[in-house]
Amino acid sequence: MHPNGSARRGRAHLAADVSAPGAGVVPRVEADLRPRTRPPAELPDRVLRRYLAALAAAVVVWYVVRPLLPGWAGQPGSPVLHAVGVLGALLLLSTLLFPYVKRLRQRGGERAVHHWHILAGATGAALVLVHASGYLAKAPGLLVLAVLGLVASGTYGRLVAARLRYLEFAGDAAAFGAVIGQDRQVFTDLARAKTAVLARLEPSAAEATFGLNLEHWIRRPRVAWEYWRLACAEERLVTNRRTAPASRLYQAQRTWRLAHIALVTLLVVGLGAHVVTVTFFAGYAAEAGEVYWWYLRR
Amino acid sequence: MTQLALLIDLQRCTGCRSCEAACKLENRLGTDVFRTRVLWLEDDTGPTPRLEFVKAVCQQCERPACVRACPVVPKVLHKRDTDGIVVFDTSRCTGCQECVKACPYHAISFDYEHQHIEKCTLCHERRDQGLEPACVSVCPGRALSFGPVEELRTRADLQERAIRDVDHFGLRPSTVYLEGQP
Repeated sequence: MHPNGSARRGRAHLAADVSAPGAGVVPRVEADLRPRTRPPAELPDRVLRRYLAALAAAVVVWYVVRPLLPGWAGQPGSPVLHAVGVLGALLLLSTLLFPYVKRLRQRGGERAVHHWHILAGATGAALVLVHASGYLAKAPGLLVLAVLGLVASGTYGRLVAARLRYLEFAGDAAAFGAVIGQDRQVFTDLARAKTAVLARLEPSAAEATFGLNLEHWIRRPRVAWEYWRLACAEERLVTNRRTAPASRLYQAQRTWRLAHIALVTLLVVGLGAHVVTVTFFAGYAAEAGEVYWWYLRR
Repeated sequence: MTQLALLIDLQRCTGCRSCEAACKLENRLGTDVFRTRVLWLEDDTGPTPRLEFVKAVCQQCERPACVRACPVVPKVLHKRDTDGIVVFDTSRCTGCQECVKACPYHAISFDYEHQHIEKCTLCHERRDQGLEPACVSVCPGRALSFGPVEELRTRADLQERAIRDVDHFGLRPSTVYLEGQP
């Protein structure tokens, strides 16, 4: 409740207007210290850090006690570890839901799916490490490396890169300087070319605010490709005119997502190859040894 | 559509950063989250070096790169038809930061605690209540004004003041910077 008894919204009020009659030179600030009306916090860092630490500790404990356990613990294909591997792989694959949900025409749920993306990815990675059970020198060891890289790049993006974003705000003072002898016709030409392509892709859209999404790639892939090339050309031009220093930190922030996407592609392809090999070519996977896991006979 | 914009008089700005503080208070921005900053720039190109104060803020571009970059459908950022202001929906932002990277003015901030973007919307909630943007209302040097961009440009012409062209990237920024006089 505001001191004068009237109900106020839950935000700070800067009611000052130095031009208003009766207002002093020093602006009058009315602060309402009621709770925020912002959306609830995302996964808090400390929760996420503790969860990741607990998963890492569980994996370490597993590798320490594994030699003391019966034979199944050293066999990735044993019923228990096989089930653990399947569950881990399903969790990892379920994280792919996130990039699709945010690109499809949906309303709501993006944040919940993002939380799932982080938690299921980390849990799935831990389960895959348990499933691998020391078979790291074999071909599937590459998958383990990809999983570790995914967790590392995701952790960097979520806990480090995002935290350092503030360093970039207003980081390019030259952008607010006067334009001197720069050619802008090239941007006009590109915008005109994009508008022409957009008329075939999404006639009702405005080039100024249009961005390609999955629907366009599915519906009109060739036209979408044409538009994407023009958009990339414009992005390159804008990047070339930036004068912000390309520090190592800045570069790392820009590239971690690319690394994350490349690794997930490697993981999906490798996982598919691994499942096909151990299920349909079990003899080959066993290297002439005993096939002790579930598989399909040809 | 009437494009609203800020007018920043570089001659009158004293670099006091009242606008920064007002913005932080109005929008409850935490540490390391900004919607605007005042840059103190050394200008040694002239015969005598001088200090210039430039308010870095969203340019409310006519062709906003941030809106085009947003991969979420429907977009988290959109340019309002009524006033041309680029607004955003925090509840749907996934924190991917594509818009932060796309803005060549580096005028979009990232709220790490809540994992969503922050940017100047010219205090659209205050304006809906008939108030001016927080930064405009507190500027002690009257360096900031606010209104339809055409009116602001006409006013600059009437005062015979030069407008600084900051359209380096073909995005057609709306913010009007009045050049300081040497």
